[in-house]
Amino acid sequence: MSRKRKGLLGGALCLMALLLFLSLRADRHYYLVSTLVLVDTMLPFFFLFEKRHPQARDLAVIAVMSAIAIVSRVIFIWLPNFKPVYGIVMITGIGLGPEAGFLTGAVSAFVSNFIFGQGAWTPWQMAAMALAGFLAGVCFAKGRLPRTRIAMCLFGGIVYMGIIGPLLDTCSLLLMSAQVTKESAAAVYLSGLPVNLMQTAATVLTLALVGKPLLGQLDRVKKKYGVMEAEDEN
Amino acid sequence: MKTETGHPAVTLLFFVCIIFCAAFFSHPVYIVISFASAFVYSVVLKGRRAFSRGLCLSAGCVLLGFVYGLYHHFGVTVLIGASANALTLEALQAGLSLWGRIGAVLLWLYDMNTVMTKDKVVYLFGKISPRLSLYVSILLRLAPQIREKKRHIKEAQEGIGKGARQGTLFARVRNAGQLPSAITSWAFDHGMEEAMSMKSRGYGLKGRTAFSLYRFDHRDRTLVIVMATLMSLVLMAALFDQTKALYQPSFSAVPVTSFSFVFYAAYAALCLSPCLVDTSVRGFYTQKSVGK
Repeated sequence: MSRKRKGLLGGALCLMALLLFLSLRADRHYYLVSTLVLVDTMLPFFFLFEKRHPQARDLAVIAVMSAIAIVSRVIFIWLPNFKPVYGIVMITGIGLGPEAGFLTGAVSAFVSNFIFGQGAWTPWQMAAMALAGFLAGVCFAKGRLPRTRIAMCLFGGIVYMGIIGPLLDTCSLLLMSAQVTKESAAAVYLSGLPVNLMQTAATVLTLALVGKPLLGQLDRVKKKYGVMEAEDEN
Repeated sequence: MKTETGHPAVTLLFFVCIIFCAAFFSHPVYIVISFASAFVYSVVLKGRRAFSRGLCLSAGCVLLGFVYGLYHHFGVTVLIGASANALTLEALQAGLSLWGRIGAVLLWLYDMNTVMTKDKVVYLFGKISPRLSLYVSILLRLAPQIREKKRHIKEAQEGIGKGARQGTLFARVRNAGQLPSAITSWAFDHGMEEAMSMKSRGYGLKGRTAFSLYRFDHRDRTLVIVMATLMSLVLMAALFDQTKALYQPSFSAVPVTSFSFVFYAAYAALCLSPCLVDTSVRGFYTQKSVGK
């Protein structure tokens, strides 16, 4: 970890501690505080991206991956809660590493919401998609998990059902109810279950069908143009 | 001048402030002002379609407010019934205020989505993070290009008898599956070509600036000063607890004094400022053209 990274991480953590402290003082502005914490966790990634002075070629590759993710979300606009976009973002993370996965996820969520509608949910969706890409990148880096179809599907299903779905449910919980009680939380999380199951199915299906071919194409681009190679080595 | 053509930073400042107020002010007068001006602004922006949309939203909010009132039973003023399931005035008021706030925020978001177009967002982004903004603008350009390329590839496939609607069922599935693969390969190579041409034009070199259409001129300055004045008045109201109301156990708010009306006027002026700018300037231009 470089010094700059440490500084950024420290700053973000201090900010988060301050926010959490404020949330204890200020009563019941759960949504505002949690969204600020969320944005705060995402900021270091954007800073690092900016500071690293990425090459135009690196930008082009992740822009293409984001474009594919957005298109995959938009062409399924007629089928609610069944979007392959999380699968595509995970593939980006697997193929290009955690930071590229994070950026692709966050930016895809932000840009595709120009079509689906921006709102109070945007930071949460950005965080959810970014997390999908980041986790995929971390778990599949350096051969920690094998890049087989079964491993990818299992990973996608577990991560969506266990982490991303509940995260998005938390957003709707905070948006829908003024007071968070045990009952309202249970109601929101339970009613989110079928939606999450659908979305998990979509993610697993995407990883199973297009995972291998898309990773093959990413490897081809990496080899042909020598992009994002440095990231693989660290 | 329309607010739409003003500097994006001013527009963003306005919307952030106004949505924040709409979400947190619980006093009924402020809710009504915010809701009504958001409604009016959407009609100014989008015309008749926004009018019917806004009416539906208002009706929905009132309905949901009543539903909230039916399901909550706090408060001291009982309207109907005597048991623990009685319909109380306070629950009804609280429900209407809650849904009024939600409706106002939704309307403001709708207005913001109309006014803050993609180019403005990318421009503002570019001020903070030029590379991220470049990434987003590459992306926004790529999406329609991909759609166009998809059409080309489809036609080419059909031209050689390998379209998604040709051949046996098995062949059709295979042909359809080849389409996304062809598109992604094209998109990567195209992106690479663009990256190379960017590099050969000096991307990433020192001293390169980004072109933008916006400049911060006197109109924007005036607007910011006026808005800041109104905002400080509204902030004063908030500090005096004028914007707050409690609905439990009974409706209570800071007593209305003559100063309250100053605050109401300031909030209304702030909420309506984009409409006022839009319509007054429109009137000015039509008069001028009639005079000629």
